[in-house]
Amino acid sequence: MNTSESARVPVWFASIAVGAMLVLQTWMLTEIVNLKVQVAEIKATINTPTAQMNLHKEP
Amino acid sequence: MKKYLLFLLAACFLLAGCVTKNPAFDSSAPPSVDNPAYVPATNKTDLLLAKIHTQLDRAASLNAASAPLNPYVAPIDTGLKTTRTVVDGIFGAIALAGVVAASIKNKLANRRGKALVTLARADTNEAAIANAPDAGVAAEISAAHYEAAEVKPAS
Repeated sequence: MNTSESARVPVWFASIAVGAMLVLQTWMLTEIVNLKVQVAEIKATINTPTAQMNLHKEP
Repeated sequence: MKKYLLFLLAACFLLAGCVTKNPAFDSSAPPSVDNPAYVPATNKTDLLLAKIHTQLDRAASLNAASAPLNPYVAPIDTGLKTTRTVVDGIFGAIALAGVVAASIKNKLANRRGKALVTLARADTNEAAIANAPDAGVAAEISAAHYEAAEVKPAS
């Protein structure tokens, strides 16, 4: 039997796999954008004069 | 010389066998259309060639008819192979992009965690400390804040 023919996966399986990958990557890209925004906000808060002063102050 | 004579004798026997076994030389067979002996020797080659060609044509037609149904014969289609290669490449690129995106997301999550810890250290709950009745309570508030933030106070 031809191995290349037997190694082929069904079309429905490939479609589901690719769809799942695309959905997962879309979610990951959204998370990346959200994380970037959050990191930027936190860094902006840290860089304020009060926060910088508190960082170098004894408790 | 002896070998040569033996070889010649064997050749004669072989030729005699061929002649006697050949229906074309079988004079005892009744003459008919189906009997090859009836056909003149000059036409036998043409007949044989015609038979061979007929068999070849039949085999070719059978092969052509059975090729699409034969599971052991893979269709040779370079265009289809190229398409499969391109599709496999797209699948691989999507999977690779997923791995890269997951790595970036993990790195950003770590960066966010570190920034939150720094933010917790920066935010010392100054309002509560300022409104504390005495220095001891203020120190307790500050220590509790650092403990809640699970960070060590800046030294």
